Amino acid sequence: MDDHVAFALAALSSEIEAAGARHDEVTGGMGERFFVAFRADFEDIRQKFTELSATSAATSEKRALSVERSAASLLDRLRTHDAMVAEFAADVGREDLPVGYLMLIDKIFADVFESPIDPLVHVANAEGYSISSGSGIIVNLPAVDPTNVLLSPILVHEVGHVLFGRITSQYNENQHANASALAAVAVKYPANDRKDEAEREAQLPLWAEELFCDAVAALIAGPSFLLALCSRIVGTNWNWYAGQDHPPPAIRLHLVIRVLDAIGWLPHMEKAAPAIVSWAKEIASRSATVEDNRLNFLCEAALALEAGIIDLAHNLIPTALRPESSARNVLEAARHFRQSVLPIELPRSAGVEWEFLLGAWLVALEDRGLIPSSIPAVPFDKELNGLLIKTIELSRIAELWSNDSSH
Amino acid sequence: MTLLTEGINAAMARHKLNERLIISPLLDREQQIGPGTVDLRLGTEFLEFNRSGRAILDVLNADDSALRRGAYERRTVVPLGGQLALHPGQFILGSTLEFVSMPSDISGQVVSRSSWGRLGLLVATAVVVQPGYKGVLTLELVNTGGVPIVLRPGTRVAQIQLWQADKAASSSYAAHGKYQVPVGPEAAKLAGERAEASKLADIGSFVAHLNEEAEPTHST
Repeated sequence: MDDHVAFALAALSSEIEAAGARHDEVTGGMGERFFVAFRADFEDIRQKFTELSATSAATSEKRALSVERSAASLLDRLRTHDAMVAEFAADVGREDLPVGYLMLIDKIFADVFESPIDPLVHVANAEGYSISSGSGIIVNLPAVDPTNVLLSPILVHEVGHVLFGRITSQYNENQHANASALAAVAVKYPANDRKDEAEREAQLPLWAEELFCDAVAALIAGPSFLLALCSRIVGTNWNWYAGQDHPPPAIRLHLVIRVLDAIGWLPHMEKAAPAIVSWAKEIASRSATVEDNRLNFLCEAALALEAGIIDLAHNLIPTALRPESSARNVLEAARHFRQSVLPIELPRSAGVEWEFLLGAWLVALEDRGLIPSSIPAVPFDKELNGLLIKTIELSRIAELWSNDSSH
Repeated sequence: MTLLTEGINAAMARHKLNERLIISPLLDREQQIGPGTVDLRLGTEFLEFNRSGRAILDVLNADDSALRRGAYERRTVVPLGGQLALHPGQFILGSTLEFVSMPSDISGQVVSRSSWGRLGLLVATAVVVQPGYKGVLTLELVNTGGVPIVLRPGTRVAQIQLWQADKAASSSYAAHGKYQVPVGPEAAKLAGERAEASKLADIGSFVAHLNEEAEPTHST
C-alpha cells in the first residue's frame, strides 16, 4: 500500500475510533432523537471507511491518489460531524433547565406542528434560534438568559422558521398569487441595475419568512408576542432600521397588529393597555421616508405580501389563541399573579400556557405604569419568570395526572 | 386549634384568594388530605452542596458574590419519571411539588411521612410554615440510613399539619419573610445576619478585653 494512502487511512481510522467513543458517552433522555440521526450519519461514515479500506490495496498510482483524496474528504466530513457531537452531546438529557420551561418548549412544538417532537435544547449564543437538521430539531436558548419565559413568544417565532422550511411549495404558491402586486411595486420603485434587482429578489423572501414566523407566533402566543417583540426589536434605530434578513420594526408590528386584530385581541388590549397599543400602532403606521429605492421597494412589497402571509400561517396554525376562549383565564391569571399566587387551578384550555404568560405580562406592565417604556424591563423580572415557569410546570403535571387517572 | 379534614377543606374553599389556604396541585385530593394533615410531594428541583469547589462553608464570612453566583451549591432538575439517589449521610435541599399559600390565620408544621422515616430519610428540619407564607416549601433531605435511597419527584414524602389561630396574625410572613415566593429549593440566606454575627464578635472581643484587665498579677 502507498505510504500516503496508509497514512490517510490510519488518520481516518483513529479519528473514527475516537468519535465512536464520544458517541458512546452520550446518555439517553431528552433530545436523544437528534443523536439517533447523528449516529446514522456516523455509521455511514464508518461504512464508507470500510469500503475505502477494502479498495486501498490497488496498485496504480492514479487509484492510490483517488483513495487518498476520498480519505481526506471523509476525514473532513468526520471532523464536521465530530464538532457537532462535541457541541451538542451535553444537551442530551440535560438537567439544568426547569421542568416548566421544557414543558413550554414541548407546548410550542405541539402548537406549531400538532405532533410531539423531541428537540435538542441547546444553550449558547446571544440570540435564540431553531434549526432543523435531518430528523432532529435544535432549539437554542440565549445563554444570557436561558429561562426567560416572558420572552418565550420569540421562541415560537424561531420554531416558525423550522415550519417555514417545510412549506416551501405552499409559500411559492402564495408568492405567485401576489406576483401582480409585486410587479406594481417594482414599477413604482425600479431597480438601479441587474445586481440591485437580484439582491432585492434574494432579500424579499428572507423578509417574508420573518413575517411568516411573526404571524405564527402572534397566532399561537397572542398579544404576548407583540409585547415580547417590542422589547426586542424596538431600539435606538427603531424607526426605519432594516437588517439584511429582517424587515424594519414598523413592518413587523404592522403585521402582528393585523393578526391580533383578525383573531379578536385588539379591543381587549386597547382596554387593558391603551397607551401601549396606540404607541405600537403609531410605529406600525410609519412609512419609509428614506431616499433608498430598494428599502422602499422591500417595505411596500412586504406590505403587499402581508395578507397572503397571514392566510398561509392561519391555514397552518388553526389553533390560534382567541379572546373568546382565553380572555377570562388571562384576567384570572393576572389576578392570581398580582397576589403572588400561582394560577395552577385555572380551567385548562388549549392555550393555557399563553394565558398565564399574557396575564403575567399585564401584571408586570401595570406595576410599571402601563406605558411603552415599561415594556423593556418586564422580561427581566426574575421573580415573575420563576412564578410563570412553576405555574406552567404544576398546571401541566395536574393535567397529565388527571388525564392518566381517567383512563 | 389543629385543623382536621373538614377545617382543611373549609380553609381551601374560602372565597377570597388572600384568605384561602392553597396547597396546589393536590393530585389526589382524597389520598393527600388525611384526618389532620396534608401529604406533600417531592418537587423536581434540588440543590446540592458543591463540596469539591469549597474548602469550608462559612456563610457569615462568605464572599457575597460567591453566594449570589450559587458557588456553594449546584441546582439539579429531575423531571417526573426521573430519579435521584441519596447516599448514606448525604444532605440535599429539595422542595415540595405543591405551591402553598397560607392565609394570615393559619400556620403549619412540615414533618416527614413515617414510611420514609423508617427508611432513614429525614425530610424537613426547619418545619414551621408561618401565616402569610407563599411559595413551595424547601425540604432538607438527609439519608440517615445505611443504604442509598432513591428519590422520585412526585412521591409523597412529607406532610403538613395545620393550625388555625383565633384571629389573623397582625404581622404576616408575607410582609417580613426572607424567602418571598420561592418556586424551588432555596439556599440559606444567612448573609443578612452578618451584622448580628459582627455584633456578637464585638461582644466577644469586649469580654476578652475585660478578662485581660481582670487577670490577677502574679507576685513572687
